Amino acid sequence: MTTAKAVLYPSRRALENAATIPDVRPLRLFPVLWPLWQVEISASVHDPQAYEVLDHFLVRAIAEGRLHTADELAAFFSLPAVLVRRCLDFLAAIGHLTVDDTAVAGGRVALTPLGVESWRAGVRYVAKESRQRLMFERFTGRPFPRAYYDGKIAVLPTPTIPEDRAPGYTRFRALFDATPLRPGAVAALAGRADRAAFNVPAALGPIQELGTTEGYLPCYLIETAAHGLLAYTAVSDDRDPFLAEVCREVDSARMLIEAEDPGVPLDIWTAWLARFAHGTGTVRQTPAGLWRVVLPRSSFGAGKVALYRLGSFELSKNHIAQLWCEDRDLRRDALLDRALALTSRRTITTIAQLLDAVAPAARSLEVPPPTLADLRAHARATGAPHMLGRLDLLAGA
Amino acid sequence: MTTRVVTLRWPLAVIPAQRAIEQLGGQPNRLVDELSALSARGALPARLEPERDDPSRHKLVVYASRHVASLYLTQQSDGYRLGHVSPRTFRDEDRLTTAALLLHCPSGWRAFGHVRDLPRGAFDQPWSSQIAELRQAWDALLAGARGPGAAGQQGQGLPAHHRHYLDLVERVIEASRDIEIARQELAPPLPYARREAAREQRYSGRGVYVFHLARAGGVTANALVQIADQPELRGRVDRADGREVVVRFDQSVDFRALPPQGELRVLPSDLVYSKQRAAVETLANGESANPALLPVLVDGAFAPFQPDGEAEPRRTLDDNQRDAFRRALTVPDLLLVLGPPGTGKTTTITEIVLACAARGETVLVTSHTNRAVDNVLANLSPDDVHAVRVGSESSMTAAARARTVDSLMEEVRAGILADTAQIDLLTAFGQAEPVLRQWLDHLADRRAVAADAQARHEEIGRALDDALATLSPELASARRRAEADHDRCRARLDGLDELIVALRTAEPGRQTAADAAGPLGWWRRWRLGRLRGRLSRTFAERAAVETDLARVAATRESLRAQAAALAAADPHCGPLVAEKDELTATIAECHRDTAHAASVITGALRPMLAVPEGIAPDPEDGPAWERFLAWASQAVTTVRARGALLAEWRSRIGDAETELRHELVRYAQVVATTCVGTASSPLLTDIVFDVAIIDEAGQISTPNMLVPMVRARRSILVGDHHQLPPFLDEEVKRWSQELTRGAGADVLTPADAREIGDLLVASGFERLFPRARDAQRVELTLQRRMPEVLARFVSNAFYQGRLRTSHEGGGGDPIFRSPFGMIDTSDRPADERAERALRATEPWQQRGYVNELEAELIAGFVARAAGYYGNWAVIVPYRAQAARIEAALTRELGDPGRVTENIGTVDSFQGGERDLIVYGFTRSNRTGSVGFLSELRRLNVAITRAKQQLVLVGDTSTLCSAGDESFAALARSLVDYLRANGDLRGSAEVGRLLREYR
Repeated sequence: MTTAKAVLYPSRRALENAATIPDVRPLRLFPVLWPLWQVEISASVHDPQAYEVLDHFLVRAIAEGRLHTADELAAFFSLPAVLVRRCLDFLAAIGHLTVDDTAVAGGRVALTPLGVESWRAGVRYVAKESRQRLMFERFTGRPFPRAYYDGKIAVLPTPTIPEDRAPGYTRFRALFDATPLRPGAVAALAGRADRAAFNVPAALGPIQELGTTEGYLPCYLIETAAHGLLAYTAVSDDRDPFLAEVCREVDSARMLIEAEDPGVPLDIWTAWLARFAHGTGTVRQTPAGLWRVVLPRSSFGAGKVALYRLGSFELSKNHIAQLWCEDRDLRRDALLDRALALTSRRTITTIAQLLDAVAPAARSLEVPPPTLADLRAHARATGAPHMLGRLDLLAGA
Repeated sequence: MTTRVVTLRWPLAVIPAQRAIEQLGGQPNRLVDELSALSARGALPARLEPERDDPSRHKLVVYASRHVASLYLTQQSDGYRLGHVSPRTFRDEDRLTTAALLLHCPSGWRAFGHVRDLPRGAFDQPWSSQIAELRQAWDALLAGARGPGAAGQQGQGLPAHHRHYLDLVERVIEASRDIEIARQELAPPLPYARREAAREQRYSGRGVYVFHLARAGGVTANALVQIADQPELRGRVDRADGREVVVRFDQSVDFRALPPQGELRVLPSDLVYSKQRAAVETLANGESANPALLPVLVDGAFAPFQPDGEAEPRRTLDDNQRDAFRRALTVPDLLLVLGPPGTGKTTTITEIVLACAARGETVLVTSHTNRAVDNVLANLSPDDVHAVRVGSESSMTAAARARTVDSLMEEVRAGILADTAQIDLLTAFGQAEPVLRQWLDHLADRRAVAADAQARHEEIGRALDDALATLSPELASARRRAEADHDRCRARLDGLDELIVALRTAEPGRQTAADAAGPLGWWRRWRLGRLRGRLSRTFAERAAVETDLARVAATRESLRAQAAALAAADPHCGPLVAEKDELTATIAECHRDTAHAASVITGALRPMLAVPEGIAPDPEDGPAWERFLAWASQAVTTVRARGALLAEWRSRIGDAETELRHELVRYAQVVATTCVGTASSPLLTDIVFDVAIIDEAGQISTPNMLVPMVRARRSILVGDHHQLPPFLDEEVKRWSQELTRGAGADVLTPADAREIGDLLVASGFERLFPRARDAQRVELTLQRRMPEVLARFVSNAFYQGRLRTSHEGGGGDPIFRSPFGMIDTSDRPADERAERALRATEPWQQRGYVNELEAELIAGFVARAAGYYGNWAVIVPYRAQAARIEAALTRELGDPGRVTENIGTVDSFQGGERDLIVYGFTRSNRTGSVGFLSELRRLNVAITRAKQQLVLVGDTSTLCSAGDESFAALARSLVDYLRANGDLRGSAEVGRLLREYR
């Protein structure tokens, strides 16, 4: 039995990404279940199959050779008439031709438009029913772009997250909107020239709506000092432009966030420290306004706080603080650890990319960015020889 | 999210409290307007919540986009006080997603400063809080949210008893399979010293090789073997002669991959069981071709239907056969046909298959054994129906092999390639095509020339007329007058002709009227006379006009001649006239050429395709020629395309790689294969059959029967459950008996064990027939095989006396006076007539028995009597006894070949018939032990093979006192019947007769 997968990555990752955006100061983070409509549609699709031998020749004889009756076809191909008639019945059953007047010379045959199209393409199109679900954002009625239809992205049928799939301790809050989906929304989407970008393939025939149910997309909304709301969804580790745009247009999310009790960060983090088990620390605010929980060196390490969490973010009562240590060397180690961990990412294929990816972390840890030599030395020092191999691989690329 | 829309018809009054006004920054109206706007669309969320101070009372909480307002009922329930406003928070969202009403207020909300400001008067609108509607809606909403919908019902699964049935069937399959595997694994592998190529007949590219085993035996024909440790080198044994084993591999095998020395391992064939399991799975998922099959089988839930009263079979059938035929054509789910021996099951099946195929249905003909399938197929002539035999070629008869897909494909291929007439024509046409195109061009060209000439001709004509007019205006005007006269005369003539016709039509009527008697006769006769007078006057006038016309025509002609002479003489006109004449000649020539070209073209095209009637138009008709050219050009292109297509077709067909088999099977009308074959052949995977006809259904176990039944929309089972039951491993029977005794590993209730036992022992047919409604079953009762005296016994003993006979009478035997005779050995001393037990000669290492006396008697009798009959067979229960008789008979007759195939146990003769049948009971002992003779159905099969004469040989004293009571009862009734109606003779007397005639 595999363990259930969380509906969304941990909030920490969203915060780290937000922190890398220059001039952005994240204030609070709200896990939200964004409401949407799911419409089940049915459309006919032409499944291209390869012609076999008899059916293709019969179709060609009708189209190119202008033969019109079953008996003529049988005589032309020197085949038993019964065989030809059964093949024609098969072609009629899949809608490629019509057979009339079966009493006259075995029946008159004519190709249907589908039959002609198949003949031209050299491919046997068989009409099949295709069903899928389309998603529409609930406040604006906008269709979601293709990226949201990836199977890995969780869309929940009810505004609750199963316990074993929650990505953290903070509860996700659902938004409520009563407006039903506009009646012509699906038809409008089907009529768009760029509908493939919204997961409605061009190959679909006329679309029929079967039913509408509600859905909820888990996301993080980050309130920032001067840049409005940032949204993060399972679509990517980077900011989500679609939801951010919706938030700009529709006030509801911002209003709800504003209506939340702002809280006093100092008190919140002091309380957090009081519960902290691995040492004593202090709460400080940087000149830029970012809150930090400063912990001693001894708090980090095996069995306590993992080193990679140094410089990363904590969430308490929707407020954000950065875990800090005054020990510069420790911070440097933390950075190097992170850099080495990044080598396993598929998107990193050269040293230059690795260094670029590490730069924001370096900034946030307030240490100089590492060089390749630094990384090598660190790998050797921490006894991780396979890392050396990986670095060589990247360097060679 | 659970929401419910509530419509509140009357307007709603809101009186903001002071505190609320402050919270709204002194602008309460903005909120009230927003409430109106939202509720006008039916989009104002609201909830009823208990008041904090008094939980028994409720407040109405409405949710605007930014604010949440708490509304309290006024004293008189005519409005609400807006007590408190707070910003909308996430917690509110949570509450709303749990349950929310959506208010729809077409009349809007209004704010008032004070309660007393509400207008109250006779003519004013009543203000109402409409709290009752709100409460009702809210309660309904909460009830729905808590109700059954939330639980989420499980989807409809299978009813319990269906599930139970399928479970039982699965257990039966499991048991059979486990036993088979255990048996095979105990057998050791067979080492071989040599392998080489074989000369067996090939039907495809699969490899066939001979293996020389180190030791003989251990493998029989049709077993599955593999090269030890190489599972991909797997095949079926074609032949096993002593140490030589011929293996036909599943696919083309690299000879070099076969180890020169190695081992063959006999494989348990899992195929059958996996196919049976798959069929059960299909049935469980409701995916069988007939979705209602499971209720039909378990509950007997048959659909009503009407037999086809109009359908006539091609051959004459008796009443019951015709009933079966008519029902089979229309039954939508299942028909059971009970066919006792000799009642013409195969004939009925053939007629049903032909009729269903003629109606365009895809028919599956299937049975448990290859022999039965081939038997039905042999009666389906290729001329009548397009049938395909699918299966393992080595298991088929030679005749059936000729109708497999591979053979069919070769036949079709040969037929296509041999038919060269068309391709020759088209090739010839292709060669002639450039010439034809030239003709087309020529025709177009001549048309163009003719058109030009015609135009010029007219031009000149006009010029000539003008010139003539100037030359001699009087002549011109005279000509015009003459022309006008001519036209006038012509018109007059036409009018007179019409009048004559009218008068002539009226004449007969008047004649009859005049002839009729009556008071006015004189008047009518006068009228007739008047008519006739008019008629003759008109004739005279017409003659006059005709003369005029002739005169005017002559004038016109002479004037024309004058004009022509004038024109010819005139130096200016002369050349024009000459040119005009020339043009006329050219035009005529062009027309001739055109017609000629058209006939050449149509002549060339006529053999190729249909030439429409009258396609070649009149020479004058210009647009028609355009159409002709277009048609001809198109036709040439079409014929060329056909030629190319046909050439490609022949090339494709001629290519041995071309895979036609799937299509040939799909477009066949009838597919014949074994039950397991329907699931195991890859050619049949995507075919759904309209009707399945399952022969010898009385011999097929339920799991085996399900395999073809799930593939067909409706099924017809033909069989006889009074004949041999499904072939069973003795171990399986023992297994089921063990289960009943409770020694099995699984915990089974006695009822379950009994049911599994039933499913093992009885065929699907036997289980269904008694429970089916009358509409679903037909019994064939007229048998034509056995002599009447024999049939009467069989009918009473096994068929409840329902069998009737149509037979010309048998007999003709030298010794017996009745077609039903018996040689009774009980007149001999006990030790002379006794059996002798042997060890392990029978299947599954069972004990065998031999009876010397009977063997000698049988051999002697057959040697004497065989010449009187067309064919004969000796049937005995034990292989050992069969071998003994064979030896004795070979000695008597001297021809071992003829003897071997006519002596055997019951299983070898199932479904067959002979003129003379001799059955030897073999068992003779003091204890009355009869072993598996107690299976009465075996006896039924044995004795119902006889067409002319049946001779039983046995010890009646043992048989009539058998330990098995039902057998003993049957034996006693047999003896009584023979004494009364047949011919029961002592062995001594018969022995003497035989010696006399030796």
